[in-house]
Amino acid sequence: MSQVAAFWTAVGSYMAVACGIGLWHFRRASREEGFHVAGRSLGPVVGGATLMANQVSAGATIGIVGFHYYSGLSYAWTWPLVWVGWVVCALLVAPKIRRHAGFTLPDYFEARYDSRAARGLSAVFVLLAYTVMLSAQYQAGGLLLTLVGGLDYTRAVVLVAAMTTVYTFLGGMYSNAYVGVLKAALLLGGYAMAVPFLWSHVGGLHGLGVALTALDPRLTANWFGWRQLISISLALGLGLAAAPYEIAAIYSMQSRRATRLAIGWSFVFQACIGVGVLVFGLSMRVLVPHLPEPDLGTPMLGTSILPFGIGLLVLLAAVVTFTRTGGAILLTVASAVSHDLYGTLVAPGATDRAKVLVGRGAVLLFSAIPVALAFRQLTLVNFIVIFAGKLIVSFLFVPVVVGLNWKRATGAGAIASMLGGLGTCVGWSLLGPAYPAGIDPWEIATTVSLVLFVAVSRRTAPVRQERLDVFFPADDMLSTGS
Amino acid sequence: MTAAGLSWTGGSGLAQTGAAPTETVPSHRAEIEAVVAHDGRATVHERFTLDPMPSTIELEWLVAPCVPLEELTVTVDDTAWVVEAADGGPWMRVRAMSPIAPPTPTGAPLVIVYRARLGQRTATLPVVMPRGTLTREPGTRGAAIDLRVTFESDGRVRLPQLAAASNPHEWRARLLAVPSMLRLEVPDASDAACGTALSGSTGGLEWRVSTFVATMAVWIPLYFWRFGRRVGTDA
Repeated sequence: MSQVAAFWTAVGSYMAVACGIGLWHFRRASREEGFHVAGRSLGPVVGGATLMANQVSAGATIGIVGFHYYSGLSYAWTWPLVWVGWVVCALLVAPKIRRHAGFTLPDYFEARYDSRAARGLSAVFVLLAYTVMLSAQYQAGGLLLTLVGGLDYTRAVVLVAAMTTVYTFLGGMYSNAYVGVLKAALLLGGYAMAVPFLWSHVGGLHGLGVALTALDPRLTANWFGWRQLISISLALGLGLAAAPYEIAAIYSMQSRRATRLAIGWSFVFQACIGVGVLVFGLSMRVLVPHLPEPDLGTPMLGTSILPFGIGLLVLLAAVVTFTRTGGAILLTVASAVSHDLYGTLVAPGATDRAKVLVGRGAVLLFSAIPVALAFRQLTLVNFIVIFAGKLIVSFLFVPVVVGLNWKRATGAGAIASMLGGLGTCVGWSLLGPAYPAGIDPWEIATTVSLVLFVAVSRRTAPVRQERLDVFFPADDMLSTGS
Repeated sequence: MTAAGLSWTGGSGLAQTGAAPTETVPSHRAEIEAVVAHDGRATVHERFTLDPMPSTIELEWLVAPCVPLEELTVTVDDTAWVVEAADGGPWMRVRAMSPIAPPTPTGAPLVIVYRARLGQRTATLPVVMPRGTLTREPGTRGAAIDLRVTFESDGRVRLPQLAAASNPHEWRARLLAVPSMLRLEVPDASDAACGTALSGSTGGLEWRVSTFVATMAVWIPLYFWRFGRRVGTDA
């Protein structure tokens, strides 16, 4: 069987399995709690795979391999640094948000701030930021299918969008959770075979080190300075602590303890994947030092460097990565439209069935919008992911993380914080690439967001006590006073 | 990748010049053929169609321990170019210059020929390549590099991934960029003792990667120890 035929057979089989999972859960996903939060049934390992599968997108399996290809080792440090954001989540977000039986992040906004405007605004901003994020998944998928499957780029992007849409449409969060487990198995299995193979042929760390250092000493040392690494990692990590798709995953867990353990399991998966993409990127720089684009590292590794079977597994894992993360993003977008905008603001009396129908319509519609961005292929995949992460942290971190831990925060404060944060991030980004005083857009944006949050909250009436009781019970030592 | 694209995401500041690691070589087609004898002697012919033909081209290869390249020649239309060493190891670099300036535009390919002796049953055959990124074949993501390896007796290509052709001793593939090495298995080659490690500075890669892995290895149990405990309100 030719490589192209084998690849399409593998992709077809994966889609059949993913759709099978979706169909298996279709009836359960017809209820809103099933579609959005998998009936709150996820245990620690499946939950950990879900959290990992949300985070490890095409930005990692294709984009970070490309980053390591051209910038060497130093970007790897973002893995453990991003975990700081997860610890913030385990300490300050997950235990509190689990007390509220919501489906989506905008649910939290209305419940916490007693403000439908805050819910609506957060839903609209989530749509914006996730459209950018989804375009990165489509772009990465398009590159892969172009190179491996022999399609032209435009058709490849459309096919990726269609694949992502189909299985999200069918199964909602159930599909996402169990395809997340499949994704973890494929990534770990493929990488466990590919890494020793590459290791043995490039002469291990010694061989890599000598060849890379001679190419450019920064490849084995610090291409990125610590200031840059910490800034990128905090943007991504703190953004994850408040990311809508991770919050939806937290809502889907069985209990608060299951959530905390799931975060730990996601670290285990991420550590293995982090080492894998590092070895891939560094090895590819030595084996094929003049690739036309760094993002072609993974596709070429799978098609032309690794043995047929292992290469196929690595390529399939990449396909699962962008369709699965794309699915999580689509699901979040669908929830924002159906549950938060339609079900709460447009038609408050809508039935569960109607909301799920609107949600599935939103999956179709919002799957199509990022295709236009992906066609333009504006920059490297991982830059798009980082930019989307900066947008998310700039408008969500303060009202979610600080808002969960500061009783005095108000709806007006949250709205000012989101508007100020997102506006500053976009405005400051336009001043780049040499940002004033070397301050990254997300850093100034989050500061502005915090200042506005505190200042406006102080000047507006506090949220009613009965609303706050859910998040700040009397016996909670973490709660801060007014 | 456009500068505007990098700027849009704030990427320029991060990327420095990293997104374009090398110069462009005006060639989108190449053929590389390696013939390996039963005793491990290898002869490599490479043909690059260059348009326009430069008067100087830089070539490089990654040294393989115990497999020195010999008799490297560069010709265009049967005219031998002058080859000068430019840099030595682990990436050997040479500069090939046309004796006629500017070179006659005959459309003939630049032909690189060299020999090597594989001293082990599983050995690395370095591939000499132009120092830079080849231009894209129209309608594709990269260049079109046709790679063919022929063994006079038994043998197989371990890396990159080549498919066995109808001739059982021939392996082929089309790649989008030139690989720096071929890893070959030649069962009949003498398995001479050879120091297999490249010599040179590793830039501290071993301890840096070890520190990175150890950091994650410590993080995970610490996290489970701190957050994995059962507490009273775990519903």
